[in-house]
Amino acid sequence: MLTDIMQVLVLGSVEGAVYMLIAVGYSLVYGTGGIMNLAHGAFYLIAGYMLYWYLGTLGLFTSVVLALIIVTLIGGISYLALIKPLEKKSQLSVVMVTFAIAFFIEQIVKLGCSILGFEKESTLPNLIEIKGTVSFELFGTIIPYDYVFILIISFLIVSLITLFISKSKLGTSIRAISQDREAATLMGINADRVLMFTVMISAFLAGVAAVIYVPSYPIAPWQGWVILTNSFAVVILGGMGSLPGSVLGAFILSYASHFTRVFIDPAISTLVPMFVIVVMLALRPQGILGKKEID
Amino acid sequence: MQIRFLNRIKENSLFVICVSVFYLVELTYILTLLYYFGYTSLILSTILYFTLFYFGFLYLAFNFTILWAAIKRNFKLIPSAIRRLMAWLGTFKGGLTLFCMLIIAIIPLLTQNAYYLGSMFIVAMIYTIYAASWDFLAGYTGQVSFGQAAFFGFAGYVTADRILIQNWPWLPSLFFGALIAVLISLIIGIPTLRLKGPYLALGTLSFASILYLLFAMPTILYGSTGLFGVPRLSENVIIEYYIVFIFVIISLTIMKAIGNSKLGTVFKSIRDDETGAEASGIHTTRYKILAFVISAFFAGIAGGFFTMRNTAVSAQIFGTTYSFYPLVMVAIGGIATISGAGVGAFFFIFLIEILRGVADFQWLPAGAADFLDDALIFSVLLILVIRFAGAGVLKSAIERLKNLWDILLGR
Repeated sequence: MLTDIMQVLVLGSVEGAVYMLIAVGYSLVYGTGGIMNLAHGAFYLIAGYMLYWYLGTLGLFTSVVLALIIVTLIGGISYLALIKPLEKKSQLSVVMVTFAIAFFIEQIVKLGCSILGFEKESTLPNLIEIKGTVSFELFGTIIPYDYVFILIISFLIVSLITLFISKSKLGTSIRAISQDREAATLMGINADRVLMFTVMISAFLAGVAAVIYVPSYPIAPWQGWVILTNSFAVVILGGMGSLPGSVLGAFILSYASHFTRVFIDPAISTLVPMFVIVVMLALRPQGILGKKEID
Repeated sequence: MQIRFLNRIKENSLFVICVSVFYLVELTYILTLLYYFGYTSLILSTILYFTLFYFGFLYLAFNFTILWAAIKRNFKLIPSAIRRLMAWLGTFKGGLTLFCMLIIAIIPLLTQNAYYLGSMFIVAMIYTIYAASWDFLAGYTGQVSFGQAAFFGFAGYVTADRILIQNWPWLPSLFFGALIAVLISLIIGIPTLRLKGPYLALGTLSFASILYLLFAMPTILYGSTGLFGVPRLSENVIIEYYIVFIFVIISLTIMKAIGNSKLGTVFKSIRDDETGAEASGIHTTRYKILAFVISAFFAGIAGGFFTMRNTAVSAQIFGTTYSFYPLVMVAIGGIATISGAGVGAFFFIFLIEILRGVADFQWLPAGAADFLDDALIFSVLLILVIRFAGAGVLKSAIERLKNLWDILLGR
């Protein structure tokens, strides 16, 4: 019983921290530009695979940095080349093009694996090793040091991002655009540039999530869609465009899904995100902490 | 009651089609029940015979009255309808459609090769229904579904289950599968379509990826291998070809007819200006759900046929690949043109064959065949089409051809 509860607590916190990173990025882009970015899961995917491909040859530090730089660039390029020109046309084509980007990245990942000679589905070794061991024991539950690392890093990054948005000049522009895009443009803010940085920040956050989470979770090309689905559920639960809502939603959802997995049934645990999406959209479409009126 | 019905019939001749289709479905359902329960339990089947026949006959008699009244009312419309059809066939678009239909109809006379007929043309026709179902939703109402595979796959599973495990004949199994797809679409449609914005896209995408995870589980829902050994429509590939062909014609005609009817105008008004449509008294949520349900129904029909064609169904069918295919086909053929879905589907199948042929060449450098992966090429194609040609590639090509045609005729 105690081990079960510990399992729910530990795995729920770790997954919650990872989904917090992913959903904060997703929510940021939606809240600022109203862009429903379906390629967000694919950003996670490509960063994870970058780490997987480089880890053996380049070493840990270089490959992490390289993966993060590449995924941030991909975010910026996909905004500049595809999302920005279509944004003026229609909301629909933006959603469609991000879906196409996500599908394209999934195929690129498969292609990369077959060219570089890697297995498509794999698990990575643990990143952190202290005194020759990778894990410690707490109340009869084995906890890898990676989990502690994930919690520290994700809270650190989210706090930094929050600080950045509230204090820096770019962050102020982001907030201005999310409140009123036209007025912000009139005040001399280059909305396209700020949105590009927003997408890049969100891609970076997805990349960080991938880099810290991939070593403790098997990767597969279809994982991007699962990540995307879960981050939908998180942002709908917490409130579209609300950063505190995303943090809250991430932990509620991951505790709920681990609780059902351990105490009820793994199959029902799979259904939790869908259940959350359907029920929240039916009862409270703006989410727990969302203030923005959705009609 | 009946007078109200008759007034509706006077307004809308589409109603006649709906009633007759409904009647056909009902008849096949009753026949199936007879067939199925005839084998298992004598007592149960006797009770069922009586209840079904008693209520069924009352119901059928009522339906017949309505149907007959409707036919009588619309009888005088038939000559003008035929005249309009002939006039339409004389125009460029009508002529082109007839020409394409004739070409597809005579293909089995030209080749009896089971691979070409079965794996290319029948699959292309099934994809036509599938892509058209997506186009119906996205083109007419402006709601995108990124999880059309959920209905395609679920109906496939249900059809396979009915045929294999319950021993139903294929036709009722097909409709039953489509019916279940409709029920499922209501579960996603009702919460997401109440809201404006791309919530449907999000809900369907999530639903399909969760179904993928559920059906891939080894212990529940037929295991990770899925169902296999589903019999085909017919041993003879030519008969199968014509059955699918008839279904394609009927499905596309119904979707096109709805698109051109009053209902279609309502859908288009929602697409163009949802708030405006609401202001002019249209219950937008209800119509969006209706369009979604129709779309799911046809996706379900396509899924049933696809399962019977492949003789097997597994969790792979819920993969994003199958949600992605209709987007590509419609993007190639042009959005909001139901027939464009057909052109896109055939183009898609041919391109896959060509890619496969090129990948087999000996002189290709090592590793180049990896780049010829169809999903990769189609995703690039889709990005390029959305970015540079929003209206679809073939739509503008056909416009050019029409201009040329007009010049040739001296108009």
